[in-house]
Amino acid sequence: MRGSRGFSLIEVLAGLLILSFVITTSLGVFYHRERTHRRAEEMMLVWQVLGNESEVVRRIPWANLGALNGQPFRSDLDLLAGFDEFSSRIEVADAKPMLKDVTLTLTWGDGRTASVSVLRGDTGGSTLW
Amino acid sequence: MVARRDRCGFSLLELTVSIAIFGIFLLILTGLATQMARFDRTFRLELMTHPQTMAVLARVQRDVHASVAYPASYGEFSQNPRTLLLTLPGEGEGAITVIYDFSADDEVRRLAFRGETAEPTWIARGTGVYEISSYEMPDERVAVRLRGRDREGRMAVDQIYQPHPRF
Repeated sequence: MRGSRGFSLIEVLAGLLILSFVITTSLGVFYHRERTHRRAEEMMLVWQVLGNESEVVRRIPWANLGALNGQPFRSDLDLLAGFDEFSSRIEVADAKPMLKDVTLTLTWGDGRTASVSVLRGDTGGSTLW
Repeated sequence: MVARRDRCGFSLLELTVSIAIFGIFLLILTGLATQMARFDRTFRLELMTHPQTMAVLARVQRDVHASVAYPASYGEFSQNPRTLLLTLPGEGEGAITVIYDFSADDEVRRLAFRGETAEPTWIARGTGVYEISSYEMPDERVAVRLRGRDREGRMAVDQIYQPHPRF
């Protein structure tokens, strides 16, 4: 029996496996955290853009609302500059007589979407919405 | 007499090498954590979720919604990209003039005057750098556009507020 021996191949492999598991987990956490943070930032900015567009939509005369269907946003999207490819779209649907449902949607290149709906009523030309 | 062991412990050299390897590993992890923290600070989210920023946005929004006019000037203040003046309807003692002073970076001051009488000034700090502009709505009414930049100069806030319609 030897007084002192080195590590066996199995021991070394087991050690490397544990180490690589720890490193992989650490890198995974880092990546996941970065992605979550980036998406949170995106959402924070996207909701501002949607909010701005809904303010604009509120001021469009009732008679012109239908023409918005299928159109991109009217307010500018400077806030989203630098993000991945995205597109904007307005959809107008009749909710009830004298009520229109205006849905504002932002779509990213990877298919994710964020949308908000504004219900507009025919107020007969007054400034109420 | 001490019996000789079959298996001896680690030698000083082995221990030193092991600790050095572990040290390098720790160093890598610490580096990652530091990078993570630095990375966090580069996000505009930091500004948007700052309680003071949210307080500023909420107050400006509430005041613009309630406003009935944008006076050109009041005392030493006049409308400009770093100053917003609003007239709010007052009860009994006349209208209230509200002034948002964004002239100092990272600080917002809200001054209010009921007639000639000054009301307490509200100050928020750590809020970024703001700029005011007008935004013309499709029906030609004018809204307030508030844009804010973080410490890196990137736009983090861009909000359009308009006075609410009156009955």
